Amino acid sequence: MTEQDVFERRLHAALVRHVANGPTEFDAFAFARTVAAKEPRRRGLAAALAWRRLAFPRRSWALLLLAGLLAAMVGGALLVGSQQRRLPAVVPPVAPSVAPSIAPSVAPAFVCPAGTNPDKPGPVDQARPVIGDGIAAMVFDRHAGRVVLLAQLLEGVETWTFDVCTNAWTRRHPEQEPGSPLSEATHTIYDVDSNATIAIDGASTWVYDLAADTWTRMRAAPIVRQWNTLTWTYDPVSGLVFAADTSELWSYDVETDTWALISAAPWTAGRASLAYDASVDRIVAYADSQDMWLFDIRTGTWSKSGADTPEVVCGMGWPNPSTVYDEVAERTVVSCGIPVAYDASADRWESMADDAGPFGVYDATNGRFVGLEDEAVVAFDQKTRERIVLLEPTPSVAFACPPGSTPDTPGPVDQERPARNASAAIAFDRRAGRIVLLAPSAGAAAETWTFDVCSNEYARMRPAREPALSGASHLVYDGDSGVTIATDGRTTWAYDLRANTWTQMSDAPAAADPAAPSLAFDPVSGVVIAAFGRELWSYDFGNDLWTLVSGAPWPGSAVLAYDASVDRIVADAGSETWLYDMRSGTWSRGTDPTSCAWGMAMVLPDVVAYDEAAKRTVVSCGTRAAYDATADRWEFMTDIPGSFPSSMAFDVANGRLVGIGEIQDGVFAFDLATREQIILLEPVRGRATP
Amino acid sequence: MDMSSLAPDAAIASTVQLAAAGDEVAFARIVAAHRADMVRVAYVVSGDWDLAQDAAQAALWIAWRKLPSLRDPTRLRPWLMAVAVNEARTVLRRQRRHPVVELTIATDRTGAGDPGDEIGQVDLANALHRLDPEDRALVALRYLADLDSAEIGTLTGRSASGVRSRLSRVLDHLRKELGDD
Repeated sequence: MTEQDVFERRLHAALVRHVANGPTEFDAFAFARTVAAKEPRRRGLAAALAWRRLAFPRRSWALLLLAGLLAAMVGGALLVGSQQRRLPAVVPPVAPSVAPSIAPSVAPAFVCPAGTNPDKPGPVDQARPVIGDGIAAMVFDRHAGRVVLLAQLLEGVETWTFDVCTNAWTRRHPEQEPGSPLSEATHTIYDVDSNATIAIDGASTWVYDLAADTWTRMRAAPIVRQWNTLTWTYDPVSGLVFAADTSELWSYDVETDTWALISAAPWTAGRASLAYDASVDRIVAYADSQDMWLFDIRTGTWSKSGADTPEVVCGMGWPNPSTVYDEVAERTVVSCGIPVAYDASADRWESMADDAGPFGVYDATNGRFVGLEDEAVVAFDQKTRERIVLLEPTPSVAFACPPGSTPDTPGPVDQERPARNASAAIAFDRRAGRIVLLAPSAGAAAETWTFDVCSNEYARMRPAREPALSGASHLVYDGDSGVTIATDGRTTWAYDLRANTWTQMSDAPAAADPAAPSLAFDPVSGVVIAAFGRELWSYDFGNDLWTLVSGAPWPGSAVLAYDASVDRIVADAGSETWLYDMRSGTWSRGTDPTSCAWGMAMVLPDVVAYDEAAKRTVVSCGTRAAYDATADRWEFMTDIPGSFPSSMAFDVANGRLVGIGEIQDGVFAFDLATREQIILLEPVRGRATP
Repeated sequence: MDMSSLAPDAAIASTVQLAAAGDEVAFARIVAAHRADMVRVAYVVSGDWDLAQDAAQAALWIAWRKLPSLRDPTRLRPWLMAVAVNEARTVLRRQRRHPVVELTIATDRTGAGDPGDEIGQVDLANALHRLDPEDRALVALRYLADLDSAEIGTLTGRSASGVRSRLSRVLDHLRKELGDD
């Protein structure tokens, strides 16, 4: 007996002792009854071999085998002496010369019309589905060259298509749509030979005819277990959809609306993700986050990949990793975070770059993947590893006053208005076309108001909760997130005007001089920039994260605005003007020795705004001053009577600055181009002085 | 402990066929005969009796679903053991995403032989705990379920030589861990 034999014997004995005290009580009969009742056995084992009947008649098999043999002989003769090294496939692929005799091959994909440029981003101002946290399923219609998207949006279930040649979304308007609400289990698959998009959620099956723009309800899938275990693919040879859950593989024929049990699934637990891999004519199933199985639809047999299969584990709340076959690269990409690619013909895995993707659907027209990234559409070419933005995210949507509105006519003077304008802060909500105003109140919490710049009317919003900020609170509109950010240097709040809700976010960094914070929004990086005393910070609303950007060069404090004309944060620090380049992280000092000497701004430092129409940063410092950053020059407008606003914002809808007055409780507009001051809301007599 | 099959091949095949056809009594016999061993092999993988029982239960559900596809009914027991260890790996993986599995140390020395020949239970538990779950599964299948390398290979999709070489590495590791080198 060798030393190892002795050790193995001792190990065996130790293991037996190790497990000797396990639980033993168990009612096997009760368990068996429960199992049998919950999952009654399907009768007829022949169902498990349905592939024999649905695929090919027996005579075809004989022909197939004969043809395969001939092809193998010819192929073998050709390959003898060849230098080409082809690693053994997991299962021998069907000879190409044989496959067409069985069934039609994959239909050719739609070809983009001459003159179109699929790499040219689509119009950024187009209507598009905004999915956010909603549910969406998409698939590529290779006949039409369009991505079909079925999504649960705020307004309900919608069907959209995305043209991969023009990079344009189109909202479809079928008479009925699946869901309402759409199930999280919904998957879509494109049936090539039937030219139909199929949506399945386990409880119902729908078919979409793009040409007719109609959804038709079909027979429900027989596999209804856990929604997040269902997975689907399409076999272009048999023309059938294949669907699997934790234990079975089924086929669905949309032409006859029939489901058939094909095989028991070989994976023993958990979930799988299916894809049809044309390089080996197999359905590949990435199972249990660790195994790759291949199903030969023609013979009804499973085989397991011998390759070291990487573990792809999705985070909590995610279903299976996605598996998509790349027809050009001949790889099945498995992704959930960091993607990996499976080369079935070589039974080999390849790692991919961390930033590869997205892998939403495979665009057979352009031979690349297409996916959604928030409101943007992005393509990824696996061969060149190139990402192309097909549709930029929606820019901050500028609101326009509705036809017939009279923005130059003062609003009703007797309307309800904020009682205290002193220290009020404003920001312009570009999507809603309203000024959001946070005004101090007699209570601890501030009051939330909006001012409609089209009708010149205030509205008291009365959200369920309002921020309790110190007097020196400041607002800025975050064009990326569509919320207004408020901070007093200690706490941070976000106001969603559409939902009329304030949400308290992470605390702002403790400012050395919390009485004088100032905010600006950088639309390029999508973050709020804040000057807290002599520190510059950024706030990322999406991640609720404050980050120190830079120390500030000015001696005291400053007011900020984002100046789009030079893509810089302009800081007016009284006797000094500074510009901060967010892209390079560098400061430069304005050379014009005249700057807005501190007047009112000493007390009310938020009186600054960037005039997008005149391309000037306008500061109110007892008088008005405009800074032209491109010329590095200040211009003082002493000829214009000042209204001494407590806060200013740029009204995108009317292309002018709007100020909320402290000394007078009216609302004024100021057009820098015409130097005209317009009263939008007359002050109330007797309340002119706070 | 008797880890061997409890019935002759013909009886097993008959029971499997009945259970595959939906006979719940036949399935109950299978459960009664194999569940305890399934829990034990799952315990070697998971190191936790509760997880092991969960794994065995999940494996039996799978067994019910897949019995009709079992080609050789006489291979029922190895198949059940393989499903059980695989389930144990799955539940362990899920468990690891949340709390860390707390390894329970068996200290009972019932049936102990010469203490000098014994591998200490605490040492064994610790050594197993430090192994990769896949390696624990191999140990469970080889030294508790008494499957040979070819059987393990068939059930886990590996070659017999691949199983042997991996087992050899695991044994070397255990030998060092348990102070046997």
